[in-house]
Amino acid sequence: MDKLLQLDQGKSGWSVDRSIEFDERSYLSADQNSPSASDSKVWLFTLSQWQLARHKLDLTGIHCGLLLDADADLSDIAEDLPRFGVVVIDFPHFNDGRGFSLGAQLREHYQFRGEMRAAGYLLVDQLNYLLRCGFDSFSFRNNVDPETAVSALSDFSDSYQPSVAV
Amino acid sequence: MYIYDQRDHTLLGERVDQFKRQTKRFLSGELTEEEFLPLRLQNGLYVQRLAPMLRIAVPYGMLSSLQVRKLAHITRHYDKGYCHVTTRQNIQLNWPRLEDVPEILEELASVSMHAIQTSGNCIRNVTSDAFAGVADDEVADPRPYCELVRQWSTLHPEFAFLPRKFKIAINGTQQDRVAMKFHDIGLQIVDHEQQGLGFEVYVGGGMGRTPVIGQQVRDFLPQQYLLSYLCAIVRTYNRLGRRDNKYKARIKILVKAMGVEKFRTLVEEEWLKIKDSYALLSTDDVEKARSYFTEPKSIKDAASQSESVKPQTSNEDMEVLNPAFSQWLTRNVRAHRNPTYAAVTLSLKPTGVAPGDITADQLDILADLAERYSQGELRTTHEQNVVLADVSRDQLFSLWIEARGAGFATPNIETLTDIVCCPGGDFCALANAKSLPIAESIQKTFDDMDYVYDLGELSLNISGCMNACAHHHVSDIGILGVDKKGEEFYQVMLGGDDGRRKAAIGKVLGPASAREAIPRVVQRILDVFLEHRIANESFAEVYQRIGLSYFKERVYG
Ligand code: SF4
Repeated sequence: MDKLLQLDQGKSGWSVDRSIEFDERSYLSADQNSPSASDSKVWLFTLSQWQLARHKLDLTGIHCGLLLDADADLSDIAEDLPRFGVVVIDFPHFNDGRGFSLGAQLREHYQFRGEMRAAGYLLVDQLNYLLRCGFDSFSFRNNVDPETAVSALSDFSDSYQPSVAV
Repeated sequence: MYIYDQRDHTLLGERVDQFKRQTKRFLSGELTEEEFLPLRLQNGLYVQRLAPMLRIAVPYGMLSSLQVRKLAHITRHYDKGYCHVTTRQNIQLNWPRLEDVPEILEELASVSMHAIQTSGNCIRNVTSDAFAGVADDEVADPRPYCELVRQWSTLHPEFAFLPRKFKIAINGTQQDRVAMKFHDIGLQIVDHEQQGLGFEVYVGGGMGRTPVIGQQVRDFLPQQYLLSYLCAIVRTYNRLGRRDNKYKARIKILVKAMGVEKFRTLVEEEWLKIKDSYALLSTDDVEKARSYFTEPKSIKDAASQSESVKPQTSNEDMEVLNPAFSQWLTRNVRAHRNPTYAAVTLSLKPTGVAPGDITADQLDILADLAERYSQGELRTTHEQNVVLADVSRDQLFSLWIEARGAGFATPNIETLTDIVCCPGGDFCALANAKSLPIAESIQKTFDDMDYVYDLGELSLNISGCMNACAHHHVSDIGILGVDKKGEEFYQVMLGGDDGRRKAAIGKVLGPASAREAIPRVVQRILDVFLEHRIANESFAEVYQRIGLSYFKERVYG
């Protein structure tokens, strides 16, 4: 599995991590054991996995995350959203801007307050916009220079329109 | 006109810096061609057939003399000494060097101009009527709303990677003069008896390879919801528009596929959630925008004094003395809301010049004329001409003399030779055929101005390919360049209407013709028109009455 560049916002500013492998935040799949509460990992569910798992598994004390495709329909799981500490929105390609709106809706309509991560093939030049759509962490599948990425977060110091970013 | 504030300047400066860094990363190989593409497009930079092309935004067509002088300087120093006015009121440079572009953008920024979002899959420059604020059939001045939309859509974080480009037009007059129903979103300003100013909202119109007339999604939207409603439409499109096929990616395809009813339901659902959020416009917001477009004081004062001031020589005297001036008054000068003023269209269509092209020296003269005759402002039109909107009537004669000297006084506005034409195969990488030589051959063939005047109002538009940049589907006579086994041919269509009378898409007359045959084809079409014309009917009226068949017979019979 590829190493990712991950940007997270800490108290002292943005931190860059290159050591993370994608399965750190493990997927839950049918052949895996049930997650246990002692596990400190975040169990990342796809939408369909979640729809199956939420009734079958005992998820008390489990750190749950949700992995969304760009075309995900949130209306079915609106009530479950507070259960997730993190929602990861997949960007299959930087030209595919659906995730911008999905993220904005997640914050705006569903008041999601957890971590919202943009993951996939992204240009650093999109970071400032992503931030303003409510994303607060980023994983790049492609090769990017960490310094360029961090500085691109603040390409703009002002904006014409208010946005959902909290 | 709108004056940049600190925020505009900050953002523009930061955008220029950002693009400098992006260009550097591209030139050093850090960004691939594919990755750089949307970044340069959203800064107006295309790669054309022969050189890059830079499209400069002219928000709803308004320019100050200062800006026009800067454009003159830029075309002189970074280009070949001329530029081109597009059918969306923007300005194109045809020969800038990629390495120079950041510097050009910096020059533009110094006069509050830019090339942001003039191409790419994002919300483009908002267009409007070149006679905004002076037209006598105006419901309300569209420019304050255009400015609000400009600010809202510029560097919008959510809508920079849409399925495809997105164009908005706002019409403020009773007659549709912005081809509103041929835009992704068209807004018609209405004054509602109880609810005050607001909009009829149309979506899904467009030209290109699948021309579609936009459909109404809302019959009245109070003005305070302008931005939230736009947001709801664009968001719905961004989430659901097709991305698998670029020819099916425009919003018109989405609206057609799901039907306007379903689309409306989705938009309204989304809108209800956000209508009272931060996107709500306050009365202050609207009033502030309006304050930039109030009638200049000198014009207001002139209105009250008009009784007492009489020019020494009236235009009537001059008309008798000079029939050429009289022609110009008829064709190129139109009424101003204030009767002592007039709006003047300067023609960029003399025979032999590519329609919409303008040289650096002419730009300087334009700046000068605007300063001396029209409050230091001018407007580009979507028919690729220039308007001086506030000219005192007693100065018309001296303006005419000067405009004539500079080549701007061809009295052909809204006639056959006022051809709308895209750059076509001479410049554009997408072209199937050249368009400029066609325009020239038609202008040369029909050089008898009396004949041209007799034809009355007539629009003839020429596009070099299906992308239809010259809007050939919506003109009385439309000409489209097509490629037939590697050879350039031209398809002719008749009966289009951009909405001035009633929005309609032109019908193809028959098989495409060779370039040399086009003036003859046009001649035959005009013959049929004149033969069937009753009294002073326009071409459009005759076509409406007799249909396509007579024309077909004559051209192909
Ligand atoms: S219509 Fe075609 S040829 Fe003409 S400018 Fe547009 S893309 Fe180019």
